[in-house]
Amino acid sequence: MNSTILKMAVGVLKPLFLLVSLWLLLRGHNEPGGGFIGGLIAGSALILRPLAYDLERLSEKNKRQSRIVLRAGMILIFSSALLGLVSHNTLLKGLWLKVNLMGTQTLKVGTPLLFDMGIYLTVIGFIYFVFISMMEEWQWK
Amino acid sequence: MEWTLLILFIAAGISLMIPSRLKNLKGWILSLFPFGVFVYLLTFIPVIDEQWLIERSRPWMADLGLNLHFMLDGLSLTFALLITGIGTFILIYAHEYMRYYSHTKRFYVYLLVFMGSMLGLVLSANLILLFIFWELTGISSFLLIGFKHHQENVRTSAIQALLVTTFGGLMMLAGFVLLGLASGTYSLPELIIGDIKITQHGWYLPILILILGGAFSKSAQFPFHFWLPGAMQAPSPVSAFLHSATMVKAGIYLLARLNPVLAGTAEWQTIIPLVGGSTMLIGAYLALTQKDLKAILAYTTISALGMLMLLIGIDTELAIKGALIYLIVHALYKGTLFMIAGSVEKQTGTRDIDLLGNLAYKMPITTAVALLALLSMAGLPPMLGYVGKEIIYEAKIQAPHIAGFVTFFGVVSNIFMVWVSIFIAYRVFFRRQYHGFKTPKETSHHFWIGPGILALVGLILGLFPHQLGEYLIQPAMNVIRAESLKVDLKLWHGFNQVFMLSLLTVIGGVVLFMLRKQIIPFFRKVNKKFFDVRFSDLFTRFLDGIMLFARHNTRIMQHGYQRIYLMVLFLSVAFLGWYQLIDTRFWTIGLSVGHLPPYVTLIGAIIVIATLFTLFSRSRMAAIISMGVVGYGIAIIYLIYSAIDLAITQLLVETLTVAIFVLVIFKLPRFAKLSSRASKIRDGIIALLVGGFMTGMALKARNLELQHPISDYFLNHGLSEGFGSNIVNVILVDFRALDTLGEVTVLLIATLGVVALLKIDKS
Amino acid sequence: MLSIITGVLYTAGVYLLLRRSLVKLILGIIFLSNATNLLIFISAGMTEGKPAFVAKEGAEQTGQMADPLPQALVLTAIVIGFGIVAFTLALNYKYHKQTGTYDLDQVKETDKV
Repeated sequence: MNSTILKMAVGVLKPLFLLVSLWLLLRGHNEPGGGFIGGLIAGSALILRPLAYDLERLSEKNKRQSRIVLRAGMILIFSSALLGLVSHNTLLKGLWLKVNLMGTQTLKVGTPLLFDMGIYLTVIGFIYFVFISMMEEWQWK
Repeated sequence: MEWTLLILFIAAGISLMIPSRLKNLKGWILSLFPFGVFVYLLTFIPVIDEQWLIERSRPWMADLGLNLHFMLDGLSLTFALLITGIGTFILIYAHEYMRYYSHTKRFYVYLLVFMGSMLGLVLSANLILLFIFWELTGISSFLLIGFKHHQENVRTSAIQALLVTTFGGLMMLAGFVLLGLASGTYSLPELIIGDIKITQHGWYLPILILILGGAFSKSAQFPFHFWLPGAMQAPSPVSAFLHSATMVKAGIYLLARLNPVLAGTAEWQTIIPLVGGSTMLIGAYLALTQKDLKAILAYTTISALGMLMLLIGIDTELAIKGALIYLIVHALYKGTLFMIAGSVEKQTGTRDIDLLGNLAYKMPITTAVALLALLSMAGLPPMLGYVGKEIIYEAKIQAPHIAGFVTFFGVVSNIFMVWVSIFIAYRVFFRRQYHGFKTPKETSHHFWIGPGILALVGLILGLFPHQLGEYLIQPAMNVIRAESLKVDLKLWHGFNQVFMLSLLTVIGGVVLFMLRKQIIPFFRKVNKKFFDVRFSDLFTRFLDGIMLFARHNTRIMQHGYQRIYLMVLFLSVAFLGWYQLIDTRFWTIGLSVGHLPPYVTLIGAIIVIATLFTLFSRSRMAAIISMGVVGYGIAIIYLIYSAIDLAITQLLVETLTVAIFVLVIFKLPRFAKLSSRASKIRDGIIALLVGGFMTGMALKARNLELQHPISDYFLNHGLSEGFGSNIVNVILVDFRALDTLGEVTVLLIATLGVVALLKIDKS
Repeated sequence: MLSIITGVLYTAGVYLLLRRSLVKLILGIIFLSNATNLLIFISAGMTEGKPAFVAKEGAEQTGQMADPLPQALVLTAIVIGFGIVAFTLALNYKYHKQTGTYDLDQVKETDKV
């Protein structure tokens, strides 16, 4: 695909998509969003560039990146699972840390958020990896 | 005492780590382990004499009532001493015997594991634990028998032994479970000491038959005997161990152990003597016509095992005493003889008794040791075999109901035994002909030290049977009979009926030996005529039959047409589903759906149209795009009915699906017209059936409120425990996070699958 | 109405699965997965305009909300469905490339090669 419009748009769309996905991820616990949705959006963002540009320049680096992302996701997921195991003897037990912000707002950080981030990264890695492999196979240009 | 087991299993591990520098000492080093255990167990003799039973227990799977529960009493101790004692010499012997084999590391591991499992078997105080060790011995013996697995007949024998004994083991497990259910406990001491009347229980007969199945198959009783001669394919040290102290004695041990629980009934006293008696006779008879030295010994083992079974079945005090002594006697002489057979084979290159001969002058020490063992086998003084045989004759004469029958069988079998002993001695050692392949010379001390000591022990115990009786047989008797008994053994009983029988036996054996030129060909002829069917072949044919049947079936069931598999699947689902729907009259509840807002109807219509378009489109691109329309339509339905997260996800996934399809689509084949009109109609009907059923089910499900949904819990606790207002997300990452973990793993696997597939022809 | 849509989707999925073409097989799988998602979703009962969001602390719970559990189930199912589609696509492509056939009835023959 050699679309100039897409090429131009990628520069803007990619960071925008990523930002939106992050925002969706973080607010997922209280409002629509979450790891799966965020991951899907971020994954789409990442494949935009290879779709728009010549793949050959990117492929190896991209593959390595996607592998790292996948691994990081799984590590996050398992570590959040194991944290619960270590501290409460129950796998995947949710642990919450309450941080006081300025006395009025309470920010709650917990292993479920970690878990969600793991999902996020795994989904990104999945989409990215699959698309890149397929495009590489078919010499997509 | 439970540590002794661990020591043997650790030894198995250590055997792998012995550096090659010490290779020349390997067998000796390893033999220290069982020897240490043996000495340690000896120290228990006075303890057992005083308190009968020692129990040790540590928690294992406590929730299942399964603990590492071990016991040591007279019976266990007798067996344990045999296992470790003979095991020590087997290792020393194996050290030299296995020297030129490859993979000896493995061999030692198997052997030690086997030894450990056997020891575990006799020390277990829990039926289930006993079963586990029972099967462990089966598996490790399989590995040992099949050690020379590059030969086909070895593999066949090993598989036969495994299948037969495992089959019996499973029967036994079923029997154990029934026994446990009937009595409420799996603990052996409780079963033995407690006053649970299993023999009165309605399940007694099935329990007995199942457990006997295990014992008979393990102890090679007729008609399961055929695996044992096959097992001689194992290296000689293994045969010696298998036939003497272990494996085949496990069945004897089991029945002796359960004697207080199950014995004393007419069934016990009929089935076991019958099977044991016929095994005894058949084994002895078949031994006569064999030409392979090890095969002769194997059949005499079968005969001896039959004798032991018979004695346990007779179930009198004398019979049990006889069984216990004969057990030790047999272990000592059979271990010796198998090791001797191994040495002979090593030195001459053959085991065929037609070729062997004249070894007495070339291998004097080996001959002397063998003669001692053969004396014991023939039951002649002053060996322990004589003591055993006298008591056995006495027991048989005094056996209730069946004295005549068993005495006759016993005398005949013993005559055969005497004959076999003389025959072996003559053919192998004294005949003035020799046609072996090598020039025989005396073996190194590794080869005769083990058998020599075992044979000497047989002699010493024969001369001083009193001590054996007091320290070993008596405690064992006490637990089997569950009463305090005095055991006094003597070598010489004086002239009496029994002595006359012994005399008759010896004379009969000698006479038969004299007449061998006439009798053996006759027996062989009879064999050819009546016993030509070999059980092992029957068994092999049976197995082949099963395989053939399976292959045949597979060919019918797995025809390779995916559509037909699917058709069968869908049709059965639709049939069962419709049956259920009609049976519950779904139409009475289903159709009362309230009116829907018009926009939902519109979306529904769009979905249906897009679906139809996908179905009948000729163009791939059009099909994919209309499929995308279907997906978006569903997303909007999700949105309307309060599932925002779902809607977003569906939209994104649908987009990506279409994108990935567009990527691939031009690399994929065009739609081709492959189906005829008739098959299209047929498939359409199947599809409609399934679809209709699903509609019915969906209708039904909507109107069904089975129980208070669990979602209420999530709704109420989402904020307080999950700290989130988006309950869907809270469920995903907190309440049901384990499910999500699994799902993410699926994604990962899908990724790996895609990558692996695409890389296939790159490597 | 929605039940009927589910039924139609199932019918389409089954019909496509029974075709001999490779590509239709994938389409069939997609339809089946959509249909099943929808089935789970509607079998829990539908609530219009009341997503399963609990109010913040202090606020009062109001009325019946949509059942969140099937939603959670379906959400992961959608993503996994995508994974399966990607995998099947790759499989089909590779199969086609290696054997040159697009007829599922030939799978048996190509197995032997």
